[in-house]
Amino acid sequence: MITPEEFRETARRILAEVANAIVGQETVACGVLTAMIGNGHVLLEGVPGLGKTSLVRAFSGALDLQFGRVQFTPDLMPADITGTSIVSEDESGRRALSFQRGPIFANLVLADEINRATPKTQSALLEAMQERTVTIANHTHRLPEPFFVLATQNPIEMEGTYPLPEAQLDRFMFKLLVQYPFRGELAAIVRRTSGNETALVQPAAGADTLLAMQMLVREVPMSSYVLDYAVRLVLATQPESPDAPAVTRKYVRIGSSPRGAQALSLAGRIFSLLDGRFNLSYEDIRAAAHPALRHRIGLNFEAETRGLTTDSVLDEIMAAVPDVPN
Amino acid sequence: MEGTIRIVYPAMCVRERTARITVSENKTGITLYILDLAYQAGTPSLWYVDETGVGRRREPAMGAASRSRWTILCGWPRKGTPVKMPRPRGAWSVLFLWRHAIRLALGRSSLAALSLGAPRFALPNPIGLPPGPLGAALRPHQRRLWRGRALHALTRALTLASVWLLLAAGVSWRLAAVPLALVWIPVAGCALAGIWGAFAQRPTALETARLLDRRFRLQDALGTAVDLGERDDPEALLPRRQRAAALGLLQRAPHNVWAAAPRREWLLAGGVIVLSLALVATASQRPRVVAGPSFGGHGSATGQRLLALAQNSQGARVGASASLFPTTSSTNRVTAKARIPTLSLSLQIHASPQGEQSSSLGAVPYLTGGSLGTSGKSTAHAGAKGAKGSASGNGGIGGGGQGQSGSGSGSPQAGGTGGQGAKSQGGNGLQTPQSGTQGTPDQTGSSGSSGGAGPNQKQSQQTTTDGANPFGQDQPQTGNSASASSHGKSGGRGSQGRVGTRQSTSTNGTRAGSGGKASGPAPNGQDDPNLLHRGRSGANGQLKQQPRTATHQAGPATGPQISLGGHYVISAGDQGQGLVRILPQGTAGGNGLQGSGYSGSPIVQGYIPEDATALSPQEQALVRAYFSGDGN
Repeated sequence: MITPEEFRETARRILAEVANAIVGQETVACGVLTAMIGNGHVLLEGVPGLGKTSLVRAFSGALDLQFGRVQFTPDLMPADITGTSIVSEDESGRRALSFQRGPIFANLVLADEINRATPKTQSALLEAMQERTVTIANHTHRLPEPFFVLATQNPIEMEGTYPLPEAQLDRFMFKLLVQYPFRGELAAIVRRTSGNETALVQPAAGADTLLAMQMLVREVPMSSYVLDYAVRLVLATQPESPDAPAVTRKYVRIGSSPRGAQALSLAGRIFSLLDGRFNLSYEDIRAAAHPALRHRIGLNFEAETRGLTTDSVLDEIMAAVPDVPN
Repeated sequence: MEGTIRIVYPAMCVRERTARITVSENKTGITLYILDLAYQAGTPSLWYVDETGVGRRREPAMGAASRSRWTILCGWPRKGTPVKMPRPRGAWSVLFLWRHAIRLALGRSSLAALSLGAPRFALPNPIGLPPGPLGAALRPHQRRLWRGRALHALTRALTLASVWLLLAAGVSWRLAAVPLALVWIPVAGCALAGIWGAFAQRPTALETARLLDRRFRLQDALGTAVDLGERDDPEALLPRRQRAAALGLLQRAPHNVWAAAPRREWLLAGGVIVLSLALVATASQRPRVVAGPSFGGHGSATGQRLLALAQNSQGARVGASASLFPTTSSTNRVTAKARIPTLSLSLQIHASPQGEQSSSLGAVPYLTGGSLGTSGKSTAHAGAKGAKGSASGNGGIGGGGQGQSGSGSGSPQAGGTGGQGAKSQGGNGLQTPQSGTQGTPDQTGSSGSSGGAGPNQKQSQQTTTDGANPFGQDQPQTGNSASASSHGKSGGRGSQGRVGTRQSTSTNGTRAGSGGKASGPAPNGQDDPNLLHRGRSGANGQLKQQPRTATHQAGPATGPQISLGGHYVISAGDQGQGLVRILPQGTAGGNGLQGSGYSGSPIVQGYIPEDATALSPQEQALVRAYFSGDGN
């Protein structure tokens, strides 16, 4: 069993190792770590060249986890991800079907450019992401623990891409937006990548440590009223909910599912532990609201024509949901 | 499935009906069919509202299939818009309005800081104090919070009661006396509500912890510790450490966190209370006109001398009903002021406990020594004017709207010089009720000989005949404007005329007098040989037109108390509340009231005065003589 102090120290060391390879992007790195501690998957969205893939690779190095990478392309097939049964011949010459594991059988899977694969291929991840199993030929294969999918996608190139279905999006615990680096960060990136210096990432924690951290997180006490706030926040994103504010009724097509509330709760617990506290607070829920709910809210046509983003709508929703219900 | 449908008709009547509900699920969702809706609810449309309160049309929310209660709104709801269900009525709606009124008045409820911003008395799911040191450390804060809330509740109750008292005082001041029950029962209700609120807002332990969290930005550490209570495994690592951390935070919290006082509400309550007191004080100093003296209303047809006494303390007044500010002393003390044409009197009446409407009461009239109020000015003007008229030949005097004062001829002062006579009459329209009948032109002429009011004389006669009321000031002037102007022209005698007006609202003379007064100059009371006309404001003996200043200002009865001839018998008047009759004690007929030349009714009836009068000793002697009957 890990102690809260060890939890914080481990997290600090992991982030420090990641920072050796990634300049800036602390918020994204912290989000990725939070999702991993919460045993969730992360969808990284950003324009090309911002270090999404590098970030995932840095985490794989810092966590000493088995790393798998899948470059999603339009011709990618589900079997290319999950694996397939092939006919193999043993030494005696007998031929038999044997399961050849795909790249998904790893602790940390990088689904690069996930929206470039067809929905058929994307669907191959549904079972793996939710149930952490892969069923092939009536045989269910369990994925290694811990199992994370860190997917990346490009928001600007729509041609030749297939937007992720809601079912797929909902399985991601966080959707993190990778922003452009600041001036100093950009200079550091240039210095670091244009010279002979190579970033060295040392493992800061292993799979066992990560699992222990996941267990500790679930012990964080959560008061009933904070839980109620998280629930009300999620319900406020549903346009059919009686608690939905006007902005939801007007601009939201589809609201968050219960997974959103689960993500809020888990992320909030992790935030509280990282903050040195032992309980969940409203602030933790608010801090987790954007990454946990932004991909679970579908805006309608009117919102798109007005140029609204899910983040701006979420801000309005959060402003409309008071801490204490009237 | 069989379900209960709650049908809400446009008229907001609610009926419970049982209908067959068929729920089918398909790819697109759940479709609800209420088969019997058409004939039971009277509308073919399938608008419905479930427990969520949102009107939908064939779009039940998730989990709708398991619901058995539905509310059907017939007709009007739009898709996706919340439907306003019938709002609670009765007492709750009053609370709703009160809450909004408070918010409107104060911008924001001061209680918000003590209730987490929730307009409720307590948070749901009350949890008792946790055992152990956490509960012990939380208890003092809980008590302080309770005290703060109780203070707020009581302050609001006080505000509400003050507002009610203010309204009651205003109504009793301007309109009619408010019965005690209507005044004090709501006040008592406010007090009870305040006490109830003080107890009802007792904070729970969870609420206290949450307020502390918010106040000190403790990230809900205390609230979580209290909320968890004993639910979690006490040996679990994080809950145990969480409680320990919460206790540490609580022990470091300062104890004066609830020291903030509801200053805004205190300001509001204080302002209302000050207004109420000011109104009450003003009302006590400004007597209310109960009734005007009427000629011929009492006694003989020749007219009576009616002196209206207004009592400002109503509780002890004879014949008065219970009202807003009753007196409770065994000896009721009533301060009443009366005005005799050009001067004001105050009567201090000591009523014995047994004194009922018809019982005998001792009365010691005294004169106030305070300065004449501005209202007195008008009267004085009139009188002075009369004097002046006589002096300057304006004659107006006669005019005297005082014509009626002409009655003055009959007044005790009639014996003075001409000018004096005129003046006195003018001022004393009171005493000249008979002047109308008795006041012959000769009389008037004699009294105002110096004034020689040729044209005015006639007028004075006329007014005399009309019978002016010296107290016309307080009465609505219904008189003839034409006559008024003529009076004013003659010498602005108006004031007197006005006085007359007051007396008999039904007479023309009165009216004319008032008009004259409006344009009449202020007399110089100092040079006026008639003592009754002295001491008033206004230029000395000059016909100077002055705008009428604010009248009805009563001066305090601060002057020396003067016995006006001993005790009088006071009985209830027959003209309604607030009227008393004053008769010299021991004289059933009230002979002592008659001055020379006075043959009217011995009954003196009080009338509310407007101000006090500064009287010189000579004036006091005159008044004393007037009351004692030998006022010549």
